[in-house]
Amino acid sequence: MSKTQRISSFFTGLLMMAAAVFMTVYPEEGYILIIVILSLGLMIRGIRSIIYYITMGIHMVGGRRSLYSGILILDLGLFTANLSDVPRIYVLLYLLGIHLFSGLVDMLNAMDERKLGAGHWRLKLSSGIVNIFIGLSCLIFIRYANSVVYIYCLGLFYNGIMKMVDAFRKTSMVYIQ
Amino acid sequence: MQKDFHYYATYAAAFLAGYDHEDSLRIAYCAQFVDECSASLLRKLKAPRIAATTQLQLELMDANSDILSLQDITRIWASFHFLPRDLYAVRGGCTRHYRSKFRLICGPNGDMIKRTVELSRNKGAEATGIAMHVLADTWAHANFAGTPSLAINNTDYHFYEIFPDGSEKLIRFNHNPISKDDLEKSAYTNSLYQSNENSIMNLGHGRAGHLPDYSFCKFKYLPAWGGYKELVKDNPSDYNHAFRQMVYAMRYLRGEEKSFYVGIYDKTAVQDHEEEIDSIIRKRRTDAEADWKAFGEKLSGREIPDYDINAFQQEYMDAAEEEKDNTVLGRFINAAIAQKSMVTSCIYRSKNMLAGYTIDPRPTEQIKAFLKSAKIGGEDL
Repeated sequence: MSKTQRISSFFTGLLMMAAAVFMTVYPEEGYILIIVILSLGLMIRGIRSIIYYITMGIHMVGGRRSLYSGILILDLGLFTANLSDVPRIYVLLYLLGIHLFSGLVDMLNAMDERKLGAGHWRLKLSSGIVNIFIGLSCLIFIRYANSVVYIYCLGLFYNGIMKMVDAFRKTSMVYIQ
Repeated sequence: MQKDFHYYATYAAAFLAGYDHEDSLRIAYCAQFVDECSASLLRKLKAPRIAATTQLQLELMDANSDILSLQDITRIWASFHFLPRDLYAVRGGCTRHYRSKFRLICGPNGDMIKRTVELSRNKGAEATGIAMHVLADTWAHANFAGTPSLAINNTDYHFYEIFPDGSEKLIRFNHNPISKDDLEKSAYTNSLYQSNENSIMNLGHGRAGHLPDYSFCKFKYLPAWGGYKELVKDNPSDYNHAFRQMVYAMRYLRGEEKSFYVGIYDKTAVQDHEEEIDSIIRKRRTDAEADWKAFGEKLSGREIPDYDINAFQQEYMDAAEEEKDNTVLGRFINAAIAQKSMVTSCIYRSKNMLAGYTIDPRPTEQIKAFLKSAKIGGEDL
């Protein structure tokens, strides 16, 4: 990780922990804030990816990857922004779906990295397992709206801590000189 | 390329070009020192950090991805390890930014290598060593650019090793920093895929692993800039050309040739040793130091000492300020500044801002005066 990435990871983790605390104290307002931040983040990421494709990726072997991912992420961001006026439970289901999916992707990536011998596959695997566990727990307690919020906040807090741990972790990277 | 070629093979080439043992050693030392002269080392020597010819892994990890840091990275790597082949290459239907990166693609026999060799004429063995390092790398590192760029330097799963009998094998890359390359299984290490265009993982030939540095290796792949056309990189042929061109270039630098032309390769000095050079290059192993060393020692009849990075450091540190330019490292530093200045100036004049702004190079005197005034002003460059 570069210095910039470490700083970004640290503050992202801090933000996630703060958001978790905020949602716990103000459960009504908290989830709207999460939706807004999430949708903005996704839309910006999607647009950046599409701009990259137009300016650089269009000439690159495999460059369409950035176009497809950009469109998908932008769509996800727009969809997320539209969730602000539906009943809270559906918003939470959507957020949980993202957690479950992200957990699954983390686990698959961890398996891949284990095969390739990259160093931090255990951390990624544990993060994936926790994400899936959080998602499943929320599904089990779905009838009790407040419990779901608290379990979700716990998950968010955990991910925030992992982000901050990542910022201080020594990374041995392959660099070909 | 690695130490086997930059140090031992350069020694052999220098000897064949007509240099004596001591000069050949000096040239070979400086050729290898280009891979060692980082800002950290220069800081230790209290030498101008502007003369850095490489960056250590830790220095790159700490580098930011802002414009100035990227320009700094490009200045070093494009000047010494990935000399651009054609700064005015035509590439239609693309943005200016893409074209700027495309024009930094390294390759042999371009205008820049001619300027590099001519720049080092009458500048001593140290400048010759730097020029030979740059020349050799234009062959090994061809088709990659000395600037972080996913769109130029990326590779994908379509990567095959081609064996001497014509058969091919899919190359499996891994990212384990500890594991060594396994030649039997065609399993090699490369840098991680990073989708960020300016990630240092996308600098140079990282995505192709060490393959460009293995003289025996012939492989084919899809370069990111290649429009899905397969490119075959024939290292044995390229290394042979690099060796012969080094001999020719050093004959020019010794004064035996009036001019240096690209695309010319020595035939006379090398002809009695063609088979032996070819067999060293084609031998399948990751490190050819022993073979090149034996060849060089056979040529000169003298022992080639192992490369020692500390060889001339004390001389430089002990010298008085006004005498530093007369030391080996002092001359190396001046030659490195001149080379970097020339290359970055050419890049800037081609309206390419990837290496930043540059001043008109009457390099050494002006730059030294600038550095001196910066030091007086409290800025340590």
